[in-house]
Amino acid sequence: MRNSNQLNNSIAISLVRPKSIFWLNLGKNWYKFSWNRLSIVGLVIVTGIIISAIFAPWIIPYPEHVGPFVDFENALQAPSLQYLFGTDNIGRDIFSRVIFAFRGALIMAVLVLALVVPLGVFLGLIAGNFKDTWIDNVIMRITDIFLSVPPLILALAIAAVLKPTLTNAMIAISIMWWSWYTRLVYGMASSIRKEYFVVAASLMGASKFHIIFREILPNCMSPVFTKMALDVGWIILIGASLSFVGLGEQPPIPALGQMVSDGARYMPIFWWMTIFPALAIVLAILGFNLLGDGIRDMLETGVE
Amino acid sequence: MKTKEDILLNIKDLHVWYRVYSGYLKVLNGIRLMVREGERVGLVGEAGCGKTTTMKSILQILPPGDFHIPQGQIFYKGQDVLKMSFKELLRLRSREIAVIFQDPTAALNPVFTIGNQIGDVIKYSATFKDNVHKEKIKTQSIKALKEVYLPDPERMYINYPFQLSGGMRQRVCIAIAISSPRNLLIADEPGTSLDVTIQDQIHRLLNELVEKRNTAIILITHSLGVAREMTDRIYVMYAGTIVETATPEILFKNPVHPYTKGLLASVPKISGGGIARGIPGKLPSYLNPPSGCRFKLRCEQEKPICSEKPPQLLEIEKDHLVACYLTQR
Amino acid sequence: MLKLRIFLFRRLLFSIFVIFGLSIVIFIIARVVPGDPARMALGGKAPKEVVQRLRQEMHLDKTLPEQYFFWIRGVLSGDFGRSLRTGRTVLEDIKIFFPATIELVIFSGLLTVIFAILFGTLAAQHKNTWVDNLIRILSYFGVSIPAFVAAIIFLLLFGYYWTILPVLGRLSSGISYPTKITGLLTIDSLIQGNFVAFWDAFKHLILPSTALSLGRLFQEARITRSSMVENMHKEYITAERGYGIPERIIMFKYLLKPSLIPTVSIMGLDLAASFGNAFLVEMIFCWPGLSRYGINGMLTKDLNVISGVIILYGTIFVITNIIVDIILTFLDPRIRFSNR
Repeated sequence: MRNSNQLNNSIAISLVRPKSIFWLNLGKNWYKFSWNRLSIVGLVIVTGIIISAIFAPWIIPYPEHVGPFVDFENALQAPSLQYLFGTDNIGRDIFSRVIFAFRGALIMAVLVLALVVPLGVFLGLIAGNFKDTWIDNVIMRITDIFLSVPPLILALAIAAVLKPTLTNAMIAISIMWWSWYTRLVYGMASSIRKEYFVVAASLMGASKFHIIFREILPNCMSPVFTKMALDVGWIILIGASLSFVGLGEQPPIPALGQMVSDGARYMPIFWWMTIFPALAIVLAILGFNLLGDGIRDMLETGVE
Repeated sequence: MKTKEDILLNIKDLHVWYRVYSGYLKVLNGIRLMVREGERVGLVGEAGCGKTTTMKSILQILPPGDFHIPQGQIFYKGQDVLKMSFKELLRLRSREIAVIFQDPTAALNPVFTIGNQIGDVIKYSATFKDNVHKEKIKTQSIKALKEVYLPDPERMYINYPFQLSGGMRQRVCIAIAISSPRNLLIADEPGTSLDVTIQDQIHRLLNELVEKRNTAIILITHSLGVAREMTDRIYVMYAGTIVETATPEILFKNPVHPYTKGLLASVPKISGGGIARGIPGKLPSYLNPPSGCRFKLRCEQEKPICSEKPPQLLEIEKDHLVACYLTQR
Repeated sequence: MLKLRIFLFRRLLFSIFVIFGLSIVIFIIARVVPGDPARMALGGKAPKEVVQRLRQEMHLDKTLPEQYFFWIRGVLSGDFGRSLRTGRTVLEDIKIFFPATIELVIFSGLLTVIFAILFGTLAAQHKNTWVDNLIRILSYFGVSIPAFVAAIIFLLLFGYYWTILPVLGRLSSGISYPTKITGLLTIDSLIQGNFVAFWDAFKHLILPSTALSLGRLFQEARITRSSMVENMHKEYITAERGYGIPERIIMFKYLLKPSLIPTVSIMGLDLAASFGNAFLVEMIFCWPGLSRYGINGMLTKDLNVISGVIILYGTIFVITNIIVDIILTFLDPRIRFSNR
């Protein structure tokens, strides 16, 4: 006759604790990640961007150029050793501005995700666990409403009715971005809760709270992390689209999309005003996409 | 009248390796198998011993790119399958040999109707002389479905696989295999994924069809009992090698190879005798297979010579071949 | 077939609910805007009584739910109010500008579908060869280049350096517009046999559509590829090969159909989303479409325009999803017979 301790132990062994397992298997995880060389390229790019964004005020050659600064004598200079990416129409160094613009882009992405992911995941967990009850229906119907509009349009609309600042652009994106995470987690939670280890936990008398947050949640996190990495790329893209149209950071603070739009007028002769910010956008999105793919290879089984 | 003299299939010393990250899985290690016209052959072995690989090699439907055949020959009607051109292979698959796969759910395409799938098989197995218009194909398909005793074949024709039960899907797979005349059927553990009563029905159905059409059949199974009832000759397989082959009477009366003896002893007897003994140990690693006889690690009577090179199949009495050094002096 | 109808009916009901929810959201956002809509409509110099009267007309003195009721009633009969900027009713503006966007989106959609399936299938068949790797690298770039960057590069390339394709507007200045039947220049000119106009309109379509489809095309190609690769190893493909079905038929019939299932879902979402993304392309190529009109409305805080365009696009999104679901039920019969 087994006592409850033995039973607990034997079941506990089968429960999964993914967080500690990740670090224990770091070697194997790194192998899975680095199997595709492009993922490493992505990691390098992303690291470069993050570092340059954090240390921007100290490493850019012309820190004053990101603020109100005018120097018509040096306006519209071609790229040279002095001005790596050339200067714009009022003499500001484009290289410094691009690096600084990464800052704004990354801050926006980080803040949006910090807001959106906890909320979205939480709602998805709750809805998935109370599946087919009124809780599920209410949450998922609201989610579907926010999913039913093309993301860009809603973001634009909201950003448009509010004053054009960085904060408001973030709010605009956040308002509809959470719904993607809710749907993602909802799908996973509703299938995971039927797995044996969850049922076993509830039979052992674990509280609902424990089940949701200690059993189901850790097993949902892989696609969430992948999506987060890819989303940074998307948010940068949407942020650039917003600032291209004029909603977002206001001058003189630089924003990538805004720089592209400003420089469009001076094409094709003074091509550097547009091309370098555009390349920066492409590079950033590329980096995060490659990184996201690498994370997916690492966390989710079944490489292609 | 059955003639058992013409040799249909003759596998000689077949080696098949699968390529994986860390090297090669050397699954088949010199398979010898022979099937005559109209003969019912049983291929018996435990899970993972390479039965399905053998079957897939005959038709050359192994996963493309991942396998390697270092040596061996598979003669079908005198021609080596391994050297056949693509066109000849196509002809082989569509008109000579048919396979009934192990898992009927996985073997049927979920987004096409049954009728569509049978119809296409019939369509591509026809010779140029036959008329391949739709009506004829449809009648032939429904006829095949009737032969496997499927209820309401007309409705079955337009159904999708997921609408059928497991037993019915297995019958559909059989229907596909017999939808046009073949010389050899290969049934890979038919009915294994279903419960035993259905499995029994499937076996009887196969038997009946084979008798009616004088088709040869290779019945792959992990049960010696089934092989005893349904076959004329049994090949016992272990870890990619044929260890013993005989007619069922001889095999059950006088098993020689330690593995065969162990298998027979593992079957619990209704007449009493206590719990059956198993065979301790498990299949060897295919990545680094043991040198010599692959059964040696589980064999109680292992000798030094067993590690030198694999024993050959030698005839110890009429119609009874064994690959073991214990029988050789 | 009965189950199919029930399924469709439920989807329809659900979609209507979603659109209503969307309208509530839009309405709340529009009313959150600081400022008095009546005063904004009339300008700063208008006398107080005029403003007051307009406020009454616009029902601004009533409670929010009542305002919503009046607004929705108008919307359902097609009355979105008047545009502050153009002075016409929003409905008229929609009729003028929408066909241009539709033409752009449809053409870009066709491009995307054809090339995504083509590239995806090629990549899957020649897995791990240079063809596959090339498409994979292209897809990374395709996804990373936002529509407006692609548009600007095209503008630079074809507008200045290599002028074989026109970059601005829908029709060259020398050519007259065909009489309006559908509003789609290519179709209209074909119907009337006006091949000069057709060819010109077609040339104008090429660059904007390509810029619009670039990102989605390669991503959908990747999805097609991975779906095909996954299905390639399935047992039923091996079985079909074993039955003697020629490789060609297996590829294009038995492998393609199940592989298209995830692709079609994404294509539907992307197509609807491209209505929104179209605005960037429309702005850069001076394409007189509804998305550009909507953005201008947003920038000038033209609330009627904003709500009108968003409701329209939301509805299109929902309708596209329903159509995609219908296509999916044809591709995958399992969906027909199971509940949501």
